[in-house]
Amino acid sequence: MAGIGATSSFQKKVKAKVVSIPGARPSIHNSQLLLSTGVPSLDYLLGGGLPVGSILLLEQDRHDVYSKLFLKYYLAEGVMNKHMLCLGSLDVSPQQIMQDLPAPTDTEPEEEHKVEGDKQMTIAWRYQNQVTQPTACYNRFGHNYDLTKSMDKEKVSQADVSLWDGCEATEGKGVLNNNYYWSLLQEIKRKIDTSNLSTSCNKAKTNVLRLGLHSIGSPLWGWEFGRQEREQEWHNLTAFMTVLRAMIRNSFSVCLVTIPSHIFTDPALLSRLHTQADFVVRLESFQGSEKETNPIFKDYHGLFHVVKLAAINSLVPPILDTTDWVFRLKRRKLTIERLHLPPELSETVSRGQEESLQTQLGHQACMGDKLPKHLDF
Amino acid sequence: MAKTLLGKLFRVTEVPTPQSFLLTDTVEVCGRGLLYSLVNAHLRLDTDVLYLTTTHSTQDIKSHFMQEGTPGKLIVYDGSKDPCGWDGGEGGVLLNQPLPEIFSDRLTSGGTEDKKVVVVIDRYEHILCSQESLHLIRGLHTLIAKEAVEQVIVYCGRDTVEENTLTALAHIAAVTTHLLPSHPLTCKVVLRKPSGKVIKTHEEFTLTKELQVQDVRPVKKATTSLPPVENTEADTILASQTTFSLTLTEDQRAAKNKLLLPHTRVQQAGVGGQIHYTPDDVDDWDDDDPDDDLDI
Repeated sequence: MAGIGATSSFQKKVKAKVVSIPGARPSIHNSQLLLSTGVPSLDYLLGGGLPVGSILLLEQDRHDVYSKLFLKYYLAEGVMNKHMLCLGSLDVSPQQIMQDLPAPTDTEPEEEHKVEGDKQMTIAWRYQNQVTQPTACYNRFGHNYDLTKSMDKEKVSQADVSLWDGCEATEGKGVLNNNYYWSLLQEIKRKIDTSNLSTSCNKAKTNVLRLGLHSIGSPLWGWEFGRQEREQEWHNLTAFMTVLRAMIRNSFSVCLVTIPSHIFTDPALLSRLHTQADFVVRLESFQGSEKETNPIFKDYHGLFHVVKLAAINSLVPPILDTTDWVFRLKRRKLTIERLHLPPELSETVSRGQEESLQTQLGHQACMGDKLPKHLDF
Repeated sequence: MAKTLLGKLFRVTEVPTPQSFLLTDTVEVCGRGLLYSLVNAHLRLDTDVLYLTTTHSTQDIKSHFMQEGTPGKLIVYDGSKDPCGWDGGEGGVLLNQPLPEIFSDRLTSGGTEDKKVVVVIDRYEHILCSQESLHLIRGLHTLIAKEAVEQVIVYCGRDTVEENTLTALAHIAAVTTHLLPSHPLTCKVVLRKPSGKVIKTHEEFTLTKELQVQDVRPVKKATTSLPPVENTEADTILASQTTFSLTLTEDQRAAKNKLLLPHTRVQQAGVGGQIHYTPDDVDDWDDDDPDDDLDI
């Protein structure tokens, strides 16, 4: 790499050689190779994307509506980048999930909306320089998808997908005596081995494996969800996660696991699973809850809790600038946003707390809202 | 009627038909009437019904449906006769085999053309006695996923099974109907549509003698007239500092409520009580509140 004339001792600084894999890019923070989850706003939260070799644990919303969308985005992104895919599911047939991936679009679905926002602010000018969630910088990382259309069948069929629906589950062995967990691990291992994705294999890596596991730990997998810690009946699920983590770490693959955490009776099981995963996020949908009618949340569909972020090559995980995130399902796309309170537009400015205090005490204390130490008459 | 969820579900007019229907009751209230009503609706729509019974005999079940000339056929699988196979399993259905196998003669023969069937599981908890819960729920899931099955109706007691079993059932059911022991009868319904929409209602209904679900209407939210906030702590503090009683006894309250105040007397007499006011020239007569911005 010396200069052409070979007279200069200067050497052009070249970037550290990164493996070139379609759809992957190095992180600006720690040079980890990142893959998109298919949802740009989720990539942003995870520090740019999902590092190769990590597990993202997604706690499903109560009715598994939005979590399924996240899974589909994740898989669609894999199809678009021609990654190898492996989808395991018992609750819904994996074929059904693959049939209904969102279609890629070239345009940002809400583009016209953005132009409007670029206008010069005349009144609230001090917010002009407010940092918005960077939409521009990652638009070449990952694709845009349109939820109203589903992806071309031909495109999906071209992808290297292995679907696992538990039909040919074989008898489990050792700690993993559950047939399903055992045979799913076997399937993943076979896939990693046959495509030479393991880090111990010296072949140059040109592709990655995207694993999607849907509703792990649901009643169809086993009865772990209903067990208490003292019953010591979780080993199938926890061992499965441990082995899975080891396999993912030692290979060029990423994994998205969704779990129905709302049916777990013992919260300790959940914290164990949290420990096993690198990233943990939770969806709390407003469907059927009283928050559905709460005016604060009227524009959103649920809360997005970031439970755990991976600290890769560092002691602490990246710190997000806010803790309140919400997700919103627009007609064509699903986004995660900061929770903003709606502007106060009601006729009378409500002073929630003060008022309720007054109504509580109003009929007793004639002195206003503060209870006097001694009554003076 | 057509608009309400219960009406739609029990007339099988909900499109698409939910693939799994969980109906639960308790010891206090029996959901059998509702179950028969649903089965009847299917039979009337010319759908064959495979009915697995664990407690009632075949004749007993058939007696509820036979009087009507319905186009659909009712096929009863009698698990009440010999559930464990001690009598050689003659004429009965063994309950310890996986669910899809119990119905295998109808579901895998392929002779049923494209006609879909409805499977009824009458008393889930009884089958649970002869099978492990995990196997049973997996069997149920396989059954639901079968193409020839239009709907699987699971009838189960809410208070007779483990909570986990109920969680698992609700996890895979598209419709969950909890019958509540109230008067009139009410149901808490959760419908999960394939599109992802979730509808949650609480509706009351009446069941006619012909087992028709009628007069469905949403339960009026019990007017949550906030019970007078009794701030007991404040009460005691105040009471300790005063020389008079701040509260009323029941007698006193009754006497106070009975008391006719002078102005009420006038109002009841129907005369007088009007206020005459002659507007001033400086009076502000528009609807605007002049103190709008004061927020008092």
